[in-house]
Amino acid sequence: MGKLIVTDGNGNTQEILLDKERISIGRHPDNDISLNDKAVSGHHAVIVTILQDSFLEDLDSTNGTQVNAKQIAKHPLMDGDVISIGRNTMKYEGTKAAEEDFQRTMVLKPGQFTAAFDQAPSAASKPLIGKLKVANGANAGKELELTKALTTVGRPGVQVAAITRRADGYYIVHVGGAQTKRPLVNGKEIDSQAFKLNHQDMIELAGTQMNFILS
Amino acid sequence: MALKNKISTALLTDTGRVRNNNEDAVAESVELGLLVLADGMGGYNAGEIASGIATTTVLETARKEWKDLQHGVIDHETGYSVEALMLKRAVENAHATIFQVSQSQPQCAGMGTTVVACILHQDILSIAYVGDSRLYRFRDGRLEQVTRDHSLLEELIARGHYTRDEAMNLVRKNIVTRALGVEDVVTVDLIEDTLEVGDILLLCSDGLNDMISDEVIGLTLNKYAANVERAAKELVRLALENGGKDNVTVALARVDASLMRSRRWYERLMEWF
Repeated sequence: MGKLIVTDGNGNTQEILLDKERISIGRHPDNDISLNDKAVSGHHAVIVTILQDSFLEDLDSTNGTQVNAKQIAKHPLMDGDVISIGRNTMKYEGTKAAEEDFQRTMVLKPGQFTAAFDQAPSAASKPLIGKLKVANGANAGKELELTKALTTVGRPGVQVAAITRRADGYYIVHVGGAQTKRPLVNGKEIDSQAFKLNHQDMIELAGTQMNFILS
Repeated sequence: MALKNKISTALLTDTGRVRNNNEDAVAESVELGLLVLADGMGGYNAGEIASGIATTTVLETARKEWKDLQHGVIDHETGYSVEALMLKRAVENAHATIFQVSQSQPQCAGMGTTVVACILHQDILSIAYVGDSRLYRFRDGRLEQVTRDHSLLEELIARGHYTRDEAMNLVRKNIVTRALGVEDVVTVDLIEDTLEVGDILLLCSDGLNDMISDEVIGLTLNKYAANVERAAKELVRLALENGGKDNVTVALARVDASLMRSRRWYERLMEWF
């Protein structure tokens, strides 16, 4: 478990053990580390600690957070890092995990993680639905919702692609082996790997252009 | 659907050079086109109990449910094939059994396991997984990691704390965010993808991918594509040569002939045109 050596603008120091999953820093008295400094926002930053590792996150503060004199939004703390917030500095002293700890698999309980990060669940748990909208030809304007885990589009014998829905988004995969033409995404031919689709990507398949829409 | 002449498989596990026991487990049913691999954790021998329950339960559930499945049907509500949903139930059964044993047997308290299982059916690949055991696909000379680990590292990348390159050097890779048997409920991820003749699927425990890079895995599969037994041996040998710090387990399946009984799957499932 790491610790912070906090030095305020008057040179007073205090040591804070990072023994909580979440330690807040700011001017407001409800922070774990409350800094009486006008340059510090009410809720300025937070340090999240998961097992041995600590992560610093600026909470969109007015004057920002620096680590080793560099402005950061999110930063994994490394032993010896110096955090500057307003007129205060905080030196991070980490602990090295034993070699054995590096090898043994450990399970982080779901509660542990969300308690620490205290944010909206990650994108994976509230999936967006993708759809295809035909951009040219007789079917222009037609839409297909991609609700299946695996959806195939195209013309058999001409060009076929599959779109797979995974936890982190949608991927397009070429079907038909090396002898058939690969679909284009934004004018570029995809390779044999699944290609991750982004909102508004233009897919071209068997002469048909389709917009990929994520909503 | 007997797949005996349509897929070639090879399974191999090794304790490695550091550990005293092997907490990995791996099993298959060529008949069903099913492979399952688990990497257990927990004190004493509890890790191997957990991984053993996982592979056995997944196989048993699949064997029991297989003949009553309406093969080729896609469930409307979830969008998954019935085979994928069966695989999910099988993994959930395994989870419930491990959790129950860990709650009732003091020496098994706190045990858990990762699991990755796949079924090759009708030229569709269905995957169910929990934790950081992976499924890779080798196609047209290129390796692709199909599953995305349930690990702290992946969560931190997803949340923008690290780029992938930074994370590889900074974060410990051995912290999983999900495992079977640890909490009362578990979320199983499902993936469905295409399957083509010539594809080689690789299921592995982190004892492989922590010891050798994806590049080396790809080169090895490329070199021994014609002989999956040899490829499996070579992958394990390389992992041992590079440290063998953990148990290392691989399961390979190569698609030798189309698994369709009649038309290609995309001709039946075609959405448009």
